Amino acid sequence: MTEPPAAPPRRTAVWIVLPLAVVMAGFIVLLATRDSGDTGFESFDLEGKVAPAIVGTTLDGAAFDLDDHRGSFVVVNFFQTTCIPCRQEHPELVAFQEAYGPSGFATVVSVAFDDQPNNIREFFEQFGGEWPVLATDTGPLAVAYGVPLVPESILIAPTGEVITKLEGGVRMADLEAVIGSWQEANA
Amino acid sequence: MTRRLALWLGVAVVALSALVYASVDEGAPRTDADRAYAIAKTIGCPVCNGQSVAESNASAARNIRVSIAKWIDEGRSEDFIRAELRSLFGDDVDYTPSGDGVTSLVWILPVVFGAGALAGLVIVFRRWKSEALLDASDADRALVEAAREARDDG
Repeated sequence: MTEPPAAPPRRTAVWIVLPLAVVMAGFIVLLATRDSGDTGFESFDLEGKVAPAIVGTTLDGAAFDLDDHRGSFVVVNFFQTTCIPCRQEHPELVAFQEAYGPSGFATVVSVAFDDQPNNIREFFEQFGGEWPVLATDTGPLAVAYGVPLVPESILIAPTGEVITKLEGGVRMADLEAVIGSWQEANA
Repeated sequence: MTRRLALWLGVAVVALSALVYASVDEGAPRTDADRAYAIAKTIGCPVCNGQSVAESNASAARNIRVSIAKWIDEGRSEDFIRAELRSLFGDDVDYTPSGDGVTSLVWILPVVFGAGALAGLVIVFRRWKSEALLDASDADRALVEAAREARDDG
């Protein structure tokens, strides 16, 4: 009796697995060579754009509208009374306001970040500062300015455009430098 | 068309219809709060580690939840809200993968692997079927007969 002829080797599985393996390998190479996501959530897309509206009632009960300050530089300072860097930067803001506020060249406006009005009053009584402070319903404002943490300050030009965002504690010298650069570029 | 093929086609049509219905139908009209929560679940908290703004109690997450609710009250679309948050806090806050660039692989790869698996199953089933229908040759029958006789004699 003779053995039946051996069946030819089946290659179909190879033709299915091979493209999948190639796709998988390409995927791995792509992920391995792609920039890592270490930059995380950092993003600020407001530079050069008209600053989001800030309209509200200050801690003193006065009406505030950012548009009323066109013609002046405005430092929108997001802060929290329990935040140590916020306390550390506060004297710099006080000095800046004292230097440029009376002439109308620039002003500071503080926006409380998830804080209580009573705590904010005590904070300003303790550390000083004579400028508008917005304390209620400020969550959407922080989002509108892309502020996830405090302290952060957004510098707004007399034209109403956002110049830049200063993360962490701000210094008067840094504000003056940014304002100077902007004035040179827009002279 | 054989009866068996018609049966399989019927099963496929029912399964596909159920899949399409489940993915398209959103059920009863949802409230604004439901919509806000559904979006918040798929937006990452910018200062947390892997938590959505719906889960996190961080100030930033609470602020974003309030903003989402406010935008919905204003009649903004989900696309607008996602685009706004991406522009303010970066693309990574949006947990819903887009269909562009590298991210599109998230949508394409499952389809490719699914098609490959389906093709593999078809081949295996066809092989099993063809093996089951093999006819025994005269030599095979003689071999079996000889084995039986040997067993009976033994």
